[in-house]
Amino acid sequence: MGGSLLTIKDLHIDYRARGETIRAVRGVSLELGFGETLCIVGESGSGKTTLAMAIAGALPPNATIRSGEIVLNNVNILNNREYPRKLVSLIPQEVGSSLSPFHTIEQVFLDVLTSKGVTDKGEALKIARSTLSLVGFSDINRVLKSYPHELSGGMLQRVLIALAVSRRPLILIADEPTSMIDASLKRDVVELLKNIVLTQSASMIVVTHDIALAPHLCSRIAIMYSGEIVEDGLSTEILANPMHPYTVMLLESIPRILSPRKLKAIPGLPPDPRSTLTGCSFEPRCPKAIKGLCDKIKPPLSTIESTRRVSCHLVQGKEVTLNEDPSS
Amino acid sequence: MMIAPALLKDFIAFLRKDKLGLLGLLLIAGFIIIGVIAPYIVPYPEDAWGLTYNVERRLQPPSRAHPFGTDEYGRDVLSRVILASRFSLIIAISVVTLSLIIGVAVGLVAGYLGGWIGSTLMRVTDMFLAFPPLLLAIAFASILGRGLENVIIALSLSWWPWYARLTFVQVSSVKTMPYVDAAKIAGIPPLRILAKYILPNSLTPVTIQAFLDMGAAVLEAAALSFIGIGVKPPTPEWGLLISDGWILIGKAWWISLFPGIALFITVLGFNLLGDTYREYSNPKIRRLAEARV
Amino acid sequence: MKTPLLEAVNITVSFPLRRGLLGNVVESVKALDNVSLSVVEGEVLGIVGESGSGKTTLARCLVGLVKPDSGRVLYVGNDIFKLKGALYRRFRREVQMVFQNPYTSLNPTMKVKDIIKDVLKASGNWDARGEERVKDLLKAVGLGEDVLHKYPSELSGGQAQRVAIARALATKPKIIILDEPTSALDVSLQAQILELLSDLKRRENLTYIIISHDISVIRYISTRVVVLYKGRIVEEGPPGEIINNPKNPYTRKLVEDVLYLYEFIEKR
Repeated sequence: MGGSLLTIKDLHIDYRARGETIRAVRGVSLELGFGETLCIVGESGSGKTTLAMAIAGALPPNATIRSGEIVLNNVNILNNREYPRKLVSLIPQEVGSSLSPFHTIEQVFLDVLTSKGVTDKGEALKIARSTLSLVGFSDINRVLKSYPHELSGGMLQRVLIALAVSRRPLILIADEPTSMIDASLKRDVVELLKNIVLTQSASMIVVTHDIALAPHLCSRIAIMYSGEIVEDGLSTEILANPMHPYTVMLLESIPRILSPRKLKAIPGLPPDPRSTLTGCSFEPRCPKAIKGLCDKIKPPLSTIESTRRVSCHLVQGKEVTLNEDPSS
Repeated sequence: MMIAPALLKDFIAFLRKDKLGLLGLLLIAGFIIIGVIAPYIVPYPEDAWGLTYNVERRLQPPSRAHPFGTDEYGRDVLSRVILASRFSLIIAISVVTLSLIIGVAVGLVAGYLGGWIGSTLMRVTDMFLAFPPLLLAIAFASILGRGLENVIIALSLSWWPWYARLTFVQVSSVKTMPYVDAAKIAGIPPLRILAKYILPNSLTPVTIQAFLDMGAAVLEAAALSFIGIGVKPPTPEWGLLISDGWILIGKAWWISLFPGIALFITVLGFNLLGDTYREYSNPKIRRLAEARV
Repeated sequence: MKTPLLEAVNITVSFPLRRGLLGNVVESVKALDNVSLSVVEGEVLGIVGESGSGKTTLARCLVGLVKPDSGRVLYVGNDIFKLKGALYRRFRREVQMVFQNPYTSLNPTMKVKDIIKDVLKASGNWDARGEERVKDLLKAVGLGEDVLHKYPSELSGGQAQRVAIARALATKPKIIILDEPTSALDVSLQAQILELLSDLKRRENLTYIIISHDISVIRYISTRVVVLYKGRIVEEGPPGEIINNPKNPYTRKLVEDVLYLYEFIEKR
């Protein structure tokens, strides 16, 4: 597995807010190769956005990397939190507040490309035009001359994607690109991102809560729950054959339109991000949990098949390795 | 609840970490406490109230018996300065309260009713706002004459428009909130909606502003007294005390200096707390602040 | 043919876009254009609409917050905008609403127990047993007594939405209009709320009008579906029909898009 672009080892990230410490990321390890696509899937509070921001070098000032390692392009960015900004482009979820209302799109492109080292204005405009065309704009001149408030939300999102791509990053990160929009817009965004992956050589990470869309966008998925990765592997395989109880229950709680069946909701709530947990973080809500084992010992993220890792005591090949007798 | 409870808890947690803000809070607390117990702690009560004239004690520099010295009537300056804090406190609280009552009432009616009534009320408010507040206060004070009550009235009349505008803006936006709709749908009577759903959610910015404004009220009252249209002597008030000692500033510097310091510290306290609050309410600056320590 | 409980008859609502020099409206946009629909007791009417379709305006008309420029809204045959006295109070009791964002639909300066108490009082359901009733309502939506003294901002999204549902139930309604009730929630919470809504419907004999841009949610819970597009109803029918045999081009594109997006879920 040499030639890995991004290697994360046992990463722990905390936030300090309102006098309390929130443990957002609790020991995440993963790898991303050149040109690979990865979806980080999780619900709110899973830590997925924090993880993405750490990779992008965009953690807010009140976040601390408590321990662990992030190696990007052979550079340890823990000592160099700003380094990723040159190599990683983050497309934020909030499109409205990302651009200054006082600058035209053309000016923004020039700004962004100048800091990337493209000082020739003609060259910069050429890049701007090609990326704007890539994201599907036909009237490029109009867009370049527009101010952010003159463009619709969907158009702004495409502009942000174009800006991100124009920086020729090694990794493109899209933060919830399909949230809160209607089906037809969702489809447009999904098709756009697929197109970008095909035409650009960048690796892509998509942070999303919508696990169902993951196979469209990425070849791999990592599912996060309460700050940890509970399962990762190839997207189509995970959706067809989920192994971790959380993944299984998550998929069963999504309504289908063709042959609907009874939804099974996951009971209870995710754990409080301020608390430290013993044992498996999903145990309180897991119908398969074994008392004495799952609540006491944290299951490691182990490789099950060559492409799948799962963090569950019940999914370790055929045997369940125990140190104590389960009370069954 | 005048201020949203979640906000208060949150702000207190933030404040704990901010040394300057805590200093501000301390100074304000000091001001309030001294203001309340002043009559009981003044070393020379009759001096403080200005009822004495001791020729032999005139213009004495600071000493053990008179830590702040004595003025041209032989009165102990320390006692005068302490008692003056009470009057400043009275003025600050009264002005802010009176302005709030008038301002919030106007803003609430204008915001809730909207339409031409709202516009008219706001136009009137804007007319007041066109003048610098101190100028307006001076104008009113000149008409009303000297005296504690008149100072309070003059300042309140110049102050209420700010609160009216703040309230108006809040109420206009709050009345469109879903929880107001939900209250209407549930059949809750309009007056109750106004009192429990609209008003409490509109008060937070204006009450915070009012509390922080107390410092400015103290300062403006002092300004009025300094130029001679504020409180009536011999009532001790810092601005008046400063102006008393002004002509003698070269020979008896202590008469103006100590009231000046007291005024400065008090206003500083409110400013420091106000700065912390401004930092708190601005998300970007706040995140930077939370990263400290 | 059952008589409709709540009915919209040819309602049109316009919003001004531009005004002339004298304040007259020069240009306006129709949020709702001649929309008619009705719901009978026991139904779950699902309204599918994307943003800009007029769905929120429709909800506000049905619940009496917005008066249409033309057309009428009838409750048990009575024009709701002409109701007075006892009939008006009855309308306010029997028709309730749950909003999309529970944090903005619950009064931030009131504790949960007071929010519900106010509604119980306003609907004449507050008596000596009032405190008990508040607890019962919370229990009915799956919440414990621990939320009683909390402010909405201290609740999680799922809890807050449940409180909003409990508040709607406090008036003992016949119909509840739900405007995107699960759109602000995570997938797993969405499933919990949908389960809760199904249970409540059975237990309390409720009728629902549910509005969402998410056709899979509508499909799951509705007994009849109406598709709203740019202020007009473009298709109507049973959920299965709408999905498997959509007739209107907009509906067809919508179903196509959803099947494309969610093919990996549909296949399971």
